[in-house]
Amino acid sequence: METSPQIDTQIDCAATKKDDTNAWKVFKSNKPGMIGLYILVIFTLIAILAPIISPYEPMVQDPINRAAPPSAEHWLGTDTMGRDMLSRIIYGSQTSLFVGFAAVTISAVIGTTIGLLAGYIGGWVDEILMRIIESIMALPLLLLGMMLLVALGSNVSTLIIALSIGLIPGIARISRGPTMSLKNSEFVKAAIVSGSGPIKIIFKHILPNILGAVLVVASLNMAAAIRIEATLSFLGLGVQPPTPTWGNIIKDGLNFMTINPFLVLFPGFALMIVVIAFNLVGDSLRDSIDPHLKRQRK
Amino acid sequence: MLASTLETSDVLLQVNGLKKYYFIREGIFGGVTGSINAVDDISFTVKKGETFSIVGESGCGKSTTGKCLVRIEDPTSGSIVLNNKNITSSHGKELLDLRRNIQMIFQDPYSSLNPKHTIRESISEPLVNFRIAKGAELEKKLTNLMEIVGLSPKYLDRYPHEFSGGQRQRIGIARALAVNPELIICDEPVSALDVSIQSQILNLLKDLQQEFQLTYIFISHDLSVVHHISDRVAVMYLGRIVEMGSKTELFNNPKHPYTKALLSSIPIANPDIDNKQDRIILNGDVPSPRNPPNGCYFHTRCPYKKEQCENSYPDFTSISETHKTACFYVNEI
Amino acid sequence: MEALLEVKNLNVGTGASEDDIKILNDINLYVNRNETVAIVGESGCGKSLTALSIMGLLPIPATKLISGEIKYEGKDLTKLSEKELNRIRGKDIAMIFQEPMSSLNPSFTIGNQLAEVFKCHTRFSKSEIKKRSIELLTKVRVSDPEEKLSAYPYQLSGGMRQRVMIAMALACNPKIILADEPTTALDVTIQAQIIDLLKELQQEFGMTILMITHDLGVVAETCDRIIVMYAGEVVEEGRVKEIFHHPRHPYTKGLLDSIPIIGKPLERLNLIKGNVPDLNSMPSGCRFHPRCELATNHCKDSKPGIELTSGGRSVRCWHPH
Repeated sequence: METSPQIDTQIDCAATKKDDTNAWKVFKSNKPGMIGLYILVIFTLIAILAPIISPYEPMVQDPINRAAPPSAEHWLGTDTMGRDMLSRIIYGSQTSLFVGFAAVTISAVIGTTIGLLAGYIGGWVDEILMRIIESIMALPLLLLGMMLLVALGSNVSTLIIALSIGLIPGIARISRGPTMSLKNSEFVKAAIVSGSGPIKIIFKHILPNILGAVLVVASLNMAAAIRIEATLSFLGLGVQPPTPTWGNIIKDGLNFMTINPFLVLFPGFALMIVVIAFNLVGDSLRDSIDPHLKRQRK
Repeated sequence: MLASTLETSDVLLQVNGLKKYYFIREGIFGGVTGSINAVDDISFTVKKGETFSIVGESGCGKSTTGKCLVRIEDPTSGSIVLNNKNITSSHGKELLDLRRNIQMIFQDPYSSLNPKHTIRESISEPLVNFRIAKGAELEKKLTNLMEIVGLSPKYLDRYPHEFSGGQRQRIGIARALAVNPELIICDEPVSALDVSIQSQILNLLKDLQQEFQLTYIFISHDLSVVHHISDRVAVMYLGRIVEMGSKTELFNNPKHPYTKALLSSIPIANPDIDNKQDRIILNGDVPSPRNPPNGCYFHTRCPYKKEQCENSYPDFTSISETHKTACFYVNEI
Repeated sequence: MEALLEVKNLNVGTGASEDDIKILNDINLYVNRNETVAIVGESGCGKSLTALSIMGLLPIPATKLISGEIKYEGKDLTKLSEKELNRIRGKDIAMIFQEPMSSLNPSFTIGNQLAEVFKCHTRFSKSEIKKRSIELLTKVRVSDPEEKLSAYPYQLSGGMRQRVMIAMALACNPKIILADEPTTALDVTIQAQIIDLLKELQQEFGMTILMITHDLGVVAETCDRIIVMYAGEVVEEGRVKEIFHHPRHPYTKGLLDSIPIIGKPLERLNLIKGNVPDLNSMPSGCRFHPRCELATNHCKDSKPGIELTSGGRSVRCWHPH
């Protein structure tokens, strides 16, 4: 094909529309979301740099200084066995964040795939997948975690598997709905006519359009995962001592709470901040991805 | 059959008895309880290089017909023959080959482009899928396509939301042209656009047709637009073709009462003409395609209906070699 | 004679300050009693927003009324409180929307929704309301009106829903009706029915209608006067026949020339080059100059005012036809 001069080349074709829907720009303008993001960056750095920045080894006991209040030597005091609280919280963040991140990533990948397949293929595939999802949802996440941990034994990998399974339904459902409507959109029809097969359509055309929604749910799931991990460890079912996690630090301190409330307050506070930060980031993400909602809030 | 009067070498597409039923399943066992006859036994022939228009109101099955032709929808029965090759049930590689020859321009320029893909990705998709070009050749082709539709190639890496409706429709046209198809189905390509932009796109389509010897099937509800662009026109009502003929025959000498009513319904942009006297205002609405009326589908709204119309569906009557209509009383009306 | 509705120097922007984008720039228009006036323009020209401003329904906080008066029977609507406005809205000024499906509440029957309108503005008894509802539906030529009262919107066809919308607008004998693209969503044969109905109502009740549309055919058939808008400004105004026969603004002329007309075959349609400008980047001077064939440097540099010429016509152009 050669360009023909007689065809409307005089048309002014400037792409005049300005790019005002940039999600990151909107996200940046949301203060609470940015605060949440900064907190998360700090906690992630703390977790990664734990061996360098923690003042003591988290397992080393100081029998003389047991359940001591904050002091110049131990900034956040010591626990019931005389281990440095600050170091334990720092190392605890490693476990908490790792378990949460792993569970959320696994559940996001599997959940999105299930949602895409169920939504795109429809029919009995959808029927079967959704029944499975619903049966998982029938169980509260905490109960599911307890059952699996008791059955398979308490360790970090079982914990991650349990949390992943529990988080899959939310992701699957959030990705199935839009997939069903995008499947009938004109651009998918255009892709079919352009010779794209189902795999290409699902992963190249539909996935990028639902990724935003998945990301929002995933960041909220992160908060949930960390909370459940703490709860299970608190109940003694999750990560086993002496490996510190925020949940079992709280559990250790519980009996001596009346003597030294800091034993519970400090790890509880760390947990709270991270959970809130994830929720802030999740909310802000939702606003920046859904411009309609954003306008209403402004 | 109309086809017999034509030289077979001229014929590009032949549609015979095409039907598309959507079956309604209800109850726990999913038994079929009824069907929506979106396209109900239509036949037509399209010659190389012409523009064949299908007009009708919403729900008449014109879009479904278009979708059956590119096989986005699978026809329930009937045959579609393109270049003497039956493509009604092609699949796999055959279907890909088919789509190299039939492309489609969609109605809504806002939803027909993936918002997460750049213009480059959208236009190169068919080129890559059909293995037409890659690398430097692909780049050359993209630049060329953009210029053909009147857009500057420097905008290739922008996203759809940065363009206006008319510009997006140009991108959709470039995507359809990419594979050098013989036949393009234009599904209401200008109905979502403003008047001043509409005329730009219509002119572009006409220019491209001459330039690349394209054949168009133009689906629209807008009779003025159809009149401007078509060579031959078919009027559909409730899934069936009620009248078909060349543009002049159909617009100057409409025979079917529905065509007459459609033509007289168009508001005329001339304040001096008061066509209130001659305007045929139809009673009521289009019946549901789920249970079309007995006899002639149009009899419930037809100002000329007689008893026979309630009982049987009329066959096509030929008025001339190319003009035919499905009405019992063609010569009396 | 004083106009029934008058909009004076209306300015609407995305914010109140000077730096914010002005979406409506200095709109002036009037509607006399018993007159049908059309606001014509392409999408994004601000015609719907003008109607919403009149109704006091500007989307907030996306838009803001910067200045201007909207006078209805001499009262400035922009100065009224929400409560006072509610007394006028729906009763004296009624509105017909484009999409009859989304403007009717899907979970209430037609009867319920009509009764709601009566309850807001009158003190009719239940039986009185029912009687009036049936009367109204008959007025808008709905068949079996009594039966239709207990129907839900989804059970009615598009044309029927638009009739119900018109009935609701007529419920309180409004003095003026704002019709926002009343036939755009309808099929041609149904559109013909609705246009026919509007014309009959005009003749029967001498209604005053301000119609917003992009369809010049509908305008030619139903309206007395036209206001042409482009990019948030009124560019031309005049009586229908004069505008159709002697458009003075190049945009109006381009618009009229670009419609394909049956019986006037053209190989190529005339067109207006380019696209409607984006709000964020309005051209300097005359907003139409980048697309105008008559544009000179003067058009680029300075903005033409809207000039009143003979015969009640006005045009915003340096070089009118």
